[in-house]
Amino acid sequence: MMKAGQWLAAVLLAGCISACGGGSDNTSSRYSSSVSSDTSSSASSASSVSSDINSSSSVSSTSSEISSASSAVTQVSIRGAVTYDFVPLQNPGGLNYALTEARPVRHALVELLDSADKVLASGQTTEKGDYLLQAPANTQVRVRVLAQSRQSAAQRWDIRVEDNTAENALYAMSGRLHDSGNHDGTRDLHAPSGWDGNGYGESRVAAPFAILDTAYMALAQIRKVESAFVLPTSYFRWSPRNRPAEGLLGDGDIGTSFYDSGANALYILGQENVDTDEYDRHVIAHEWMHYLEDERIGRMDSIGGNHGSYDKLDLRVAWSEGLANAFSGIVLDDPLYLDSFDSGQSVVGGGNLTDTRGMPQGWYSEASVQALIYTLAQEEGFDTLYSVLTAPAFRTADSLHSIFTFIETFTDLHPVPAANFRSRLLQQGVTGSDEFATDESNDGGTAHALPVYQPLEVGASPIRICSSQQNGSYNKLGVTRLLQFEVAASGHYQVRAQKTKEQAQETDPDMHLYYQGERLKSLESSDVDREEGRLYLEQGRRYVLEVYDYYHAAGFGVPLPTSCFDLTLVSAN
Amino acid sequence: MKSIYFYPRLLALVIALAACTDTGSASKAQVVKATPVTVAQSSHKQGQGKPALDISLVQPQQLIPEGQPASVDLSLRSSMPAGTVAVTLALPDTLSNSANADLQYQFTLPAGVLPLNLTLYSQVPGKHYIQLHAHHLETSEQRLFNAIVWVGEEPGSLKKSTMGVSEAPASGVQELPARESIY
Repeated sequence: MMKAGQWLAAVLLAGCISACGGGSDNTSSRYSSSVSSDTSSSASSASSVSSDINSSSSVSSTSSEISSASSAVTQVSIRGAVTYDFVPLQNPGGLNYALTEARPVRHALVELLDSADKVLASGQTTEKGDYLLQAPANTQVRVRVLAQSRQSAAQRWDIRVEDNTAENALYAMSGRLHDSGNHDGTRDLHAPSGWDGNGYGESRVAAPFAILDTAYMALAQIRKVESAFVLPTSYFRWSPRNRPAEGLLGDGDIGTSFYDSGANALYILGQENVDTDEYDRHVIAHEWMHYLEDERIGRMDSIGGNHGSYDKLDLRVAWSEGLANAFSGIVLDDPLYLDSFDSGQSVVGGGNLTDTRGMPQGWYSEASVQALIYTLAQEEGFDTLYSVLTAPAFRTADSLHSIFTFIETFTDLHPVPAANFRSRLLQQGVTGSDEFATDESNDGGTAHALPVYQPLEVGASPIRICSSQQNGSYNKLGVTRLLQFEVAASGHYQVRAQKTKEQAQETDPDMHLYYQGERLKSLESSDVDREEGRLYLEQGRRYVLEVYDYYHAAGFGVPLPTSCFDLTLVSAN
Repeated sequence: MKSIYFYPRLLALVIALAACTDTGSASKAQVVKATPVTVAQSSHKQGQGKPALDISLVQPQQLIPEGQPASVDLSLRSSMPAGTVAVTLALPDTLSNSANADLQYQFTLPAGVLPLNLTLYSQVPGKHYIQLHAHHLETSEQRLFNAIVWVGEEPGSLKKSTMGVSEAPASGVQELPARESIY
């Protein structure tokens, strides 16, 4: 039974052949030539049709109909299986090349090219990695599998794996030119890892497909719980030259595997014997979750920076990183977050996502967040978790995204499971129950960490807030202080932070104003010991103000003493 | 020129030390200070990176002259509040460490900046990577990362090919050879 899209594809293909002069009257060579030139010019539309029908079997139906209408052998089917070398990661031991196995390349774009590199046909591999394409008979053709998965149906996505050291060229594995003959043929393509027993002695063809497959696994989890979505293109960028050195991305000096929010790009390490991540599936899924947070949840409040399970972090960073860690375990159905590196990729870091022993526990800990979110998905299902993350109320929350924002939305949407989850939260030292954590009592042993959000009133006496490097600089707990407030009337207001008189050391206070996670204004002058600025504020909005000492955030030299500021907000109309 | 790549490190070191003791060429012997290199387009910086030990270089890239000993600042920055960090350095064959240190260091936290200086020498112009392995002894967290040392030439003056970067394919597709079975 042909679906509408399949029928359309059949008509289009038949129409194309007719227009090209195809039929029983034409010689094989003439027909072949016509197909070649015409399909080449419509390569992009052929691709989109293929994506829409998303099944190579539909092409088969088309082919059989056409074949029955034509007595000459003008077309043949080329089918095959596409696989890649999957190298398992073990703890201890790292990547275990001895256990390498061939896994299907799923839902990747496949093309048939002629000797002039014209695209004659295109399609997509199935869930089992199989493909089927139609080729002109007796023609030199080759099969090329792109490291790209794309669909333009109700569930829309586009995932590409590119080489950032070659101007972001799309990776592909290619077969060789071979005569298509006059009967159907099979061409299986396999992407080898390039491992020769001692190192990557050969081309690492499998790496882009390993990344693509992990990304598809993550995507598949979303497909199960959301029938329609539109995800913009996610650009994975990997190269064997991608090193943990800070420099130019085009040189491969990417620093670490990371998500670049502005470009929807996910840079992945690839330097052998130092740090490769193409087979570190949790790392790939972790970074893709950052993309999802940005593009599907619709907000990326995290300020990024170095982070780990033993750090006490800014609440936004703890939330985003803990969520990404948990997501990797959920979509891979594996709570062991592992990351290989060093000689032979033989050293492993990471651990069980639910084991937070010895680590900081609380709202400022990515370890606590990952344990909580992973456990929640196990107990209540991924669909419950996803419903909270994608709820409009979560996206438009006034607070900066943190475990507290999640708790409040979770409680509103699923009160019974949320009540049951309370004991889990308390186990991890999270006591706050609303988005502004008004009843939070865990300060992480950090002076001035509570309240999480300090209330601010217009025209009131100055509020004293302090910024410290007790837990480190930039994105660590204590560097930034948050305040929340509303105004009774829309208009202009003056906000001012002034260093307190008791302090001797020089400071440089800075401020950011947010509404629903969007940064509305930054006050970042280099004025010594004070910062002030004029704000336009609207009645009925709850704002968040972030205040910190630039010197503490930047982390120059030795740890600095605590900086305290008197903060005021007054009407300036 | 190419044969320089095969000079043993020891020979290069001897040359450097000989230069240091040659009073007739004092200017050559002088240990100069490496120049920090500013990268126009930064990499991850404050992006959403994978979990790792919180440690990074104060100066990720530096430039030293060709054929002259230079003091390179490999100081590290960490905001970890407690514990001990062990750091091991591995130099490429193209860089010599004239101090002949064992390149293993330990730092007690908190320290803000962990001071680490080396006098390096190279006769091989171009881009070189020093590997650093940091290990937090209490938490067992680790991180491997690279410092970049440019020898002799400004980064912008080097052609792509000398930096090991691929030429982009005109088609926009980076094709790698599949292992193919046809039947």
